[in-house]
Amino acid sequence: MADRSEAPAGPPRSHQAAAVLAAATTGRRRIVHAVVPAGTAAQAVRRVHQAGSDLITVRVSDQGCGQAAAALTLVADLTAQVAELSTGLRIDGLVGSRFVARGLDAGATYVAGSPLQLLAARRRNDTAAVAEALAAYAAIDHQCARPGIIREVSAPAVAAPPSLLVTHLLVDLVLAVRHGVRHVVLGYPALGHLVQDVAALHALRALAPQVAPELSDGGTLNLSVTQWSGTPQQVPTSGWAAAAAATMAAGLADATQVVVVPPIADDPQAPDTGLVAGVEFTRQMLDMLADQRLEPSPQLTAECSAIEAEVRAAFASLGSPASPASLASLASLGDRDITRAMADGRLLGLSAAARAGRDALGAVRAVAAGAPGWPVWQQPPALPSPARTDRQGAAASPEDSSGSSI
Amino acid sequence: MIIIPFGKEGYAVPKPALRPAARDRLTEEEFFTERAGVLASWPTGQEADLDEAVAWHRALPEAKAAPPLFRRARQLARPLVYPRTGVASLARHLDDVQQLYQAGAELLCTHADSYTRTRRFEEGQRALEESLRRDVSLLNGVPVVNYGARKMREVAAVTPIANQFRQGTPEGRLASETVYAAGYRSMLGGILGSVPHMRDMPIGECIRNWQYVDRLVGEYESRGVSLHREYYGALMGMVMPPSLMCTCLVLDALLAAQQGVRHLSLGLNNNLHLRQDVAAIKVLDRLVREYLDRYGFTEVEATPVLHMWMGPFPPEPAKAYSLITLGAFTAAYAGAAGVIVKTADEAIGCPSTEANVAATRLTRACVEVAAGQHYPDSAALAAEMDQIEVEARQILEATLRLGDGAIGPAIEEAFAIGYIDIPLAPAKCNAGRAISVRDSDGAVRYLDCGNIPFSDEVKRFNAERVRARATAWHAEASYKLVLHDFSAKAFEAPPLDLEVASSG
Repeated sequence: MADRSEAPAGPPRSHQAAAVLAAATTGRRRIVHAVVPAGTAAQAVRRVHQAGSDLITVRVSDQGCGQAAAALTLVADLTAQVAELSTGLRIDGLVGSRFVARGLDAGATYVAGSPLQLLAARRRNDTAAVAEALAAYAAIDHQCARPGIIREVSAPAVAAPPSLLVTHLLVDLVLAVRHGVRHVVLGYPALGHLVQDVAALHALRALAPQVAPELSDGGTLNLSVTQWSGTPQQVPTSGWAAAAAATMAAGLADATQVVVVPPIADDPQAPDTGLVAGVEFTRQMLDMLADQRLEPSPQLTAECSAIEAEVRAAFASLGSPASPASLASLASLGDRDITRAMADGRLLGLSAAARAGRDALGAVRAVAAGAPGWPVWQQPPALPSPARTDRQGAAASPEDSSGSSI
Repeated sequence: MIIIPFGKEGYAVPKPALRPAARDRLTEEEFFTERAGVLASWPTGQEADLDEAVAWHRALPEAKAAPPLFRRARQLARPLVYPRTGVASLARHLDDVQQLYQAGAELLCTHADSYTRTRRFEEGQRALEESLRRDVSLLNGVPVVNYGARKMREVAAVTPIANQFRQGTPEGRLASETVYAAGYRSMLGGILGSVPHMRDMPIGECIRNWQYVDRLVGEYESRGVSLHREYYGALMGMVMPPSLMCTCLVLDALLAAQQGVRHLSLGLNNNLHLRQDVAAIKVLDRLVREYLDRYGFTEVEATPVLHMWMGPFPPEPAKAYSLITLGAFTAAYAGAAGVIVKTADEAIGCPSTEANVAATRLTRACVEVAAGQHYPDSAALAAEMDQIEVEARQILEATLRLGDGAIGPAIEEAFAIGYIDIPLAPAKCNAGRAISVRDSDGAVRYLDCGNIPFSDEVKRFNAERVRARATAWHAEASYKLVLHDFSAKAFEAPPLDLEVASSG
């Protein structure tokens, strides 16, 4: 797959996400990607940029309450005022494709958001909701088929086995490519297990071309790591630790970018405090690891193989028992097939029965399947471990090791 | 000065130590004769009564013992988290220690102030009195000798777990007497780690001083009190070749064991290269066991621990956290028995209590996120381990052939001829010819091996790796790379080259 994309007619090249991603894949510096709310002042975003962020997306969850207008204004202001900063939109809700079109006209060159992520966040998998989400994002994808626009699809922010996250990303990828997108970023939410996270990124690299061969003809594919998924951090130190683990995995797997999740709450007097700190932290960590990679090892290979096998098993469950689906046949699945699979729990894992937990080595496994056909990890007995709280009783672990709902 | 001819040019070394390294375990007579002088060197020295101290230790609960902590950490492959702290006021120090314990510290450390480390007790006394009068700490640690053993017992009495005293000095005999008599169960400080902290003292005298301290620990051991000792591998504030750190620590361990130490930890510097740091910890663990066994110290317990980055820290707390977390994860992935915590105040000076508490919590959180994980075994890891081990063995074997078979004198000679050469250490006893630098993927190599007794193959390997970096960086393989590695901005990746991306 090519590293670069054709230039859009919009902002100068130094403001284009495609150029930033291409530069990151050829140089030592990786991208620190910050997300800001729609109402953020341009001056605050400038501070985030100065802290080390190369790419900023403006989060929009709906078109009401002036959010959309504020987002468009911010994108336009940043494009006009902040040199060498690429700007984009991060869609967290159901917004119209016309809004996205206006964002692209205002200077955005990057659009993030995906239907599966939205449905997981809203814990909805009824047929109507799924169909509505797929239709809305199909329209957004059509807008992102413009030359040079980068489209990020992200796995749901849930503590799930990596195979499930990879499966979601591949389905999102297929949907986006089907609607004309050719420059894709796959956003993987880190789980805090070094080998497993690196393996998941390697698996994505290996499997994505199989489900989206269209990208080999002038398209681009980049990997992104989101610093944390799952429940919000209860204490800031856990946020920093989770951010560190995720950023280490991203750096050692040679992902192109890291999406910053602020590890500390913002100061009301300085609304960008947490984000600036998160960007500084991430910039430093990525730069320290710029020349380091997690080399091949039997453990990494085994984890990667396990993830790939589980992904294939998950896709097989999308077909009928008589004719299980394969990676290659994924592209031929219609929106209706995908809708059905999501609605019956095979795809989104929203079934109450689905549970994940950490094994004795800290890796995240499916300990109970959400639907027939999903692989389940046979968890060995856990080793004894010291108390996972500090002496003041604050939870020091970012996740309950006993298993969480997927 | 004595000029030792070597190769094309001789180089100067200071005159021999007046008190050279002992060849063997200090005899009772040697030890107690010397001890009388040590205790008489400051009035509080008389409080270090050995019999009374042993009784005090025996009265302390088992929960305050240090060796089991390290043993358990090794079994669980989960590093102990221990921050360092110390201010002039003992009451304030106790408050700080309690806060750190609440934050998750698993070994409570008392850091020596600079006057104590340089035996300037009179100046320390004045600074202590002024600090108490003004209610502000004018000292960068606790003046334990000025307080004396009886007063310092408050620490062991009120804290619920083991205490460690830390002193980077070539002469810590009286401070060691004081803290062990006060009930401290662990102490950091050693011979080769002292070299970066000294200038004029002959290495033989430094060895002799620490042999005394280790003999003191051996004396406690012989009276049924298990104490713990920790050594650190020549922690200059820069990148340190792992093989040199491993060498120094193995030699420290042998000298300690010879004097009767039974429980020790060996601290490596985190060079911020994950694979190499993990490799160094694993090699150290293996080598120290092998050499202890070879010399008959089979019952001595030795565990590797990791010091977070010792070089320049960025002033931004968030960036400092990045270095701290990388150190914490490295220790956890490597299965180190402990990790010594740095703080976000590192770029400014001595850490505030708040910064120490935050860093302790952060380190604990990282260790817990990494629970159960280890760095995967791979061909690259094995190759790095082999390289470190080959280099360390070449120095160790060459060194241990010196001194007519006695370890202490062997180290003295090794320094004199540059077999052991700590990069950029200011001590006059150090040859100062070896220089370390990062290679093209960030691992630490020798830019100049000086007179370290490496084979041609090892020298060639290091030269090739450094040359590869120079080529990649379009720079000379020279000291300029060292200067870059030394700077606080050493890790900043160059900006994105949008033009190259555009045209490429």
